[in-house]
Amino acid sequence: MSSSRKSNYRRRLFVLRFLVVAGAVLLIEALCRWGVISPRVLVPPSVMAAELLHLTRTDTLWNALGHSASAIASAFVLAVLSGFLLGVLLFRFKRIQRVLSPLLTSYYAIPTFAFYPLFIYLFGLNNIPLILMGYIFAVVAMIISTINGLNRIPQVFHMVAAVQRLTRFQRIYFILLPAALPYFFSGIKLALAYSFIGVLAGEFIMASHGIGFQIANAYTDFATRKMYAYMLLVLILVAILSIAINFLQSRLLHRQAAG
Amino acid sequence: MNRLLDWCYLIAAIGIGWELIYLYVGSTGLTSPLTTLALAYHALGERSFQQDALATGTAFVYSVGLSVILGVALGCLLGVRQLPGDIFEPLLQSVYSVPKLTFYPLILLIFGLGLSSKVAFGVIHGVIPVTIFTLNAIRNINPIYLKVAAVHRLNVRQQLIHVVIPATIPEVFTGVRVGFCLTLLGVIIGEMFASQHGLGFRIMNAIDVNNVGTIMTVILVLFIFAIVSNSLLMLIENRLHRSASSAPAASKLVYG
Repeated sequence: MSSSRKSNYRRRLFVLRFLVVAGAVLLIEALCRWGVISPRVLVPPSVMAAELLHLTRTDTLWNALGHSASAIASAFVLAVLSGFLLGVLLFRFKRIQRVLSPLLTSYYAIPTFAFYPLFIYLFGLNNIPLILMGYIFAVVAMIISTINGLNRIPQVFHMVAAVQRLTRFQRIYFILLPAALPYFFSGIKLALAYSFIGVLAGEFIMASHGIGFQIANAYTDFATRKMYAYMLLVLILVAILSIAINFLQSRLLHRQAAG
Repeated sequence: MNRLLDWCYLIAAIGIGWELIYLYVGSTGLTSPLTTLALAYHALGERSFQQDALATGTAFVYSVGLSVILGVALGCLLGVRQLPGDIFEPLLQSVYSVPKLTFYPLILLIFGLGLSSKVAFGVIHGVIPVTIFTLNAIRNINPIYLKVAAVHRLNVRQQLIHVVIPATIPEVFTGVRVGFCLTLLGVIIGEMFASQHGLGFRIMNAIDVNNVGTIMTVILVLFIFAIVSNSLLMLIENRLHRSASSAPAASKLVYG
């Protein structure tokens, strides 16, 4: 009974959320059409969508998408793996964690983008500086989430593990990983968002390929419609990624709660 | 005393790491820690640097103020009832993961070049975390507190002063701290692309002519400001959380 009510509520939420987004888009469309928002500032969403549809038939868009996607994927995978390992290490060595904690907590106030020219100088104008930008932006979120997850495991779980005489491997697999999974997931989500931001920002500042580069290019060419079409593409990509990750998360956590 | 030692270790670690990278890269890409310190000391006395820092500071103060006010207001609005919070929280999360830098042409077209544009950039970076933390703080108020308030027949004003505000302030403050950092980042990025004054503009100028010393100096100054102010906020935050967590423990004793 309560589970069917819950799923009803979730369906209602989904519909309402969709209505909110659709309403916002329609409002912007109307404001643009009525001339409240000047066409030099913003083109109507329908025009953006039409332009984007037109661009999907060109190679430029798919090349740009491919370049950005490969850089984002590399940065993301590197950040998640090394962030997890570093998080575990810092969790084990509390002293180092305590020394580094001011750096970790203020990390996101540092304008990392300013280091981008240095990376270009070091590695040349190719994919490596972009991947590095995404990576240094994403890795710290993963480290912090990993430490958080491991810290929040209740003491009782460790005691149970000791009582059951679990080996180290069993302890990690049966106790640590499942217990800390929700926190790891929030780290993975942040890492994805941040590698996305890092790579696109890098492309935007200085690059020869990619979606960020296309936006900057359209902007300097006064190609407003094209610029907004690419921005729309960015929004669509973010939406797809966050829906996918939320879906995966609810599936995994659901199974965990059931089993 | 121990904490002081930790800071010494941290500074030493950063210094050594930096020096090693400098030795590897060479002076065309980087300046050494000591040179940068000397440059920063020199720059702090310079009139043009002070003016840029003042410009950044002004924009930053406006942005933080607006982010906190807007974020707390929005968070309260969405957090009071279950449904709006459930509808909007995932939407806010997705907006948060949008690379806002790629939207700077839009901000520039709306606000033009200058202070308002910088402030807008700071606010769009900082307002969402404040909103999300406030929203969750209000939703997570222990229901027992509200029941106690009802039992004591508190009116709305008394409920706010004695129950809601003390219960939510630690979480909200965490949001403010996170928002503080992101707003700083937003203002600097805004200055890099949409301004003719400020430290961000200084960085962008230096990038264009590959003036490594200036880039490193500005980053160092910002870094020190960020880390010191964040650590101070963290200190307050920990105190708030500690005094807050002692309250539920006491109530657990009474009601448990």
